[in-house]
Amino acid sequence: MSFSLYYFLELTAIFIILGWTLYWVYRIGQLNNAPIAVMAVSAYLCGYALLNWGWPLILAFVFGAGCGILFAFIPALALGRAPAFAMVICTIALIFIMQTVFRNLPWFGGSLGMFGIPKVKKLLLITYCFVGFFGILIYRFDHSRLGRAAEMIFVDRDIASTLGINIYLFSVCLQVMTGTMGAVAGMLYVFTIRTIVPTYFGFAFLLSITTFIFVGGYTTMWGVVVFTPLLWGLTVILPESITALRNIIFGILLMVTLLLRSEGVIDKRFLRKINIGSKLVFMKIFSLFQKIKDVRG
Amino acid sequence: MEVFTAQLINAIALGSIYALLVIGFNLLLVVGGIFPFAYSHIVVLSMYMCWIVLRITGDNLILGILAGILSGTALSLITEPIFRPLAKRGAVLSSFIVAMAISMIITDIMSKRIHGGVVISFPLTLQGKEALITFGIATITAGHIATIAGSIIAGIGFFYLLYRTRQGRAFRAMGQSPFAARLLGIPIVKTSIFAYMIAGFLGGISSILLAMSLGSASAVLGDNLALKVMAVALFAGLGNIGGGLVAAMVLGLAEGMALAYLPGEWYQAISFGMIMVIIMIKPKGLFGAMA
Repeated sequence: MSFSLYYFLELTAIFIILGWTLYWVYRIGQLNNAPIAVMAVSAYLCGYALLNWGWPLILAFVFGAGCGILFAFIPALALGRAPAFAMVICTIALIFIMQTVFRNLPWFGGSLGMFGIPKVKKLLLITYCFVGFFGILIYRFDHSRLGRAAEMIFVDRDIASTLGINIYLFSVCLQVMTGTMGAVAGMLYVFTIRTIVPTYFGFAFLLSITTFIFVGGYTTMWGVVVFTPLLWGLTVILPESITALRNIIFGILLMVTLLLRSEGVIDKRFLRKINIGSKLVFMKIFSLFQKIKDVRG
Repeated sequence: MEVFTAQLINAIALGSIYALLVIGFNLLLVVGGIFPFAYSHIVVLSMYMCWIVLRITGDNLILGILAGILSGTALSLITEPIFRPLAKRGAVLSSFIVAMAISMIITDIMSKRIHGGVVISFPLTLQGKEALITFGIATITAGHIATIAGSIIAGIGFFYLLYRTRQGRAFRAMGQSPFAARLLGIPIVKTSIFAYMIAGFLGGISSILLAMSLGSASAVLGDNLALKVMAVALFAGLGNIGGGLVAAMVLGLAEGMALAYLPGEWYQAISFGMIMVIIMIKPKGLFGAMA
């Protein structure tokens, strides 16, 4: 496999996981950007354990994930009750705070970051295993009673509470779950790039992920899956003169999508249409086979 | 003590600019019915416009200041038709995402297409660095006085408009209930356009005051400023214009003191951390929302 294809596949998978972290909490109407900060924490701590303490890879991975989960849990306790905008602002602030902290701590290499993260064998397979695992988890969630409860919270919080849904607990649990996904994505990202620089985990990164999810569609988990490789791939395939305009293209796409198709390209109606369409095609093929069978008979 | 006094003067100047920015932000939030994340980016782009005109005209201050104020007003007005359908739908969170997209475009323009992405510096004549009053190492410069006086005049002008004019009553009515305002015969679209114009004008003034106070600007300033303005607005209570002034001064003071007594860039983390903790404890802000 070529180097560029490997990086494309690897980073696409990581971006899909990150897109899902935003999608999952947005299911209850909260925009939680904390996974980007969690990503930085777990990546730095895992990298530090590997490089400075010489820990084995699996132990460092578990340590990084554990620290990331703890880091996601503490603000989640306070942000569980916060209104949507309070959460948006607090979690963006958290990204800036973590960037400042890692940029100013000499143990983590300051602005230069950390280099020489060891290579992980079969990383692509491991990454896609995680994508599969998280994908199944979210799919099962969406198609369960919990998914319906999340939908109710999104539509009307007051009615959801009246129906006995504990919105606070729901929010905290989802924040911790997405924090875990962010932690895993952070470490996978570091193993792919093999360097850790504070500027990676910044606002620009968040904007890219936001574009993938809101252009793709935030009401289903498939929007991210389809549009991450498409949008991310565009920047890889297109000539450099156009790639330089990436942020402008992303910005315009995001604006146009939200103005013309407020729920993104792949919304629930779109999925229903595909479902009905695929059923029709299947039925036509089936009836065609039946006719051929009858003619032969 | 002298360091404290020097930082106190800087902090008051910075806090008064934040206050002006928060007024514009809250005006768009309450009257425009959107979450104007890109407002600070428009302010920073206006700083760039001022810098370009200053360069072209050989540091003609009047033209530079006019360029900053006019571009702030024009850029704010340009965004109005983009946000109008979202405001009509009441899609505030979507307006935040669209504003993020606008900020992404503005930041890209500033970081790649103006001055090769290099930090821009304003001429010393605009910054007004000459000391007027001196206490030991602490000095009050012409820039400080112009910044504080400019903010106070613009603030008083805005409050006069808000509480003493027909247009101000229309703003307040729309802030309370756009539906009731329409029933009372208030032209919603016209009032909204006027709110964007006023917010842009205040943003333009803020851009000049920021240029005087900071002396330089960069593409990342937009994101930093946006977060601070949003945090101050939330800290005071979203839409609470009076509370926003107090919160802006508190942030200015906290940042000024952290800048004086802490090494490196820790002041950023301190000011963001402080705001974050307060928002977590009182999510609706210190003074309550939409006053």
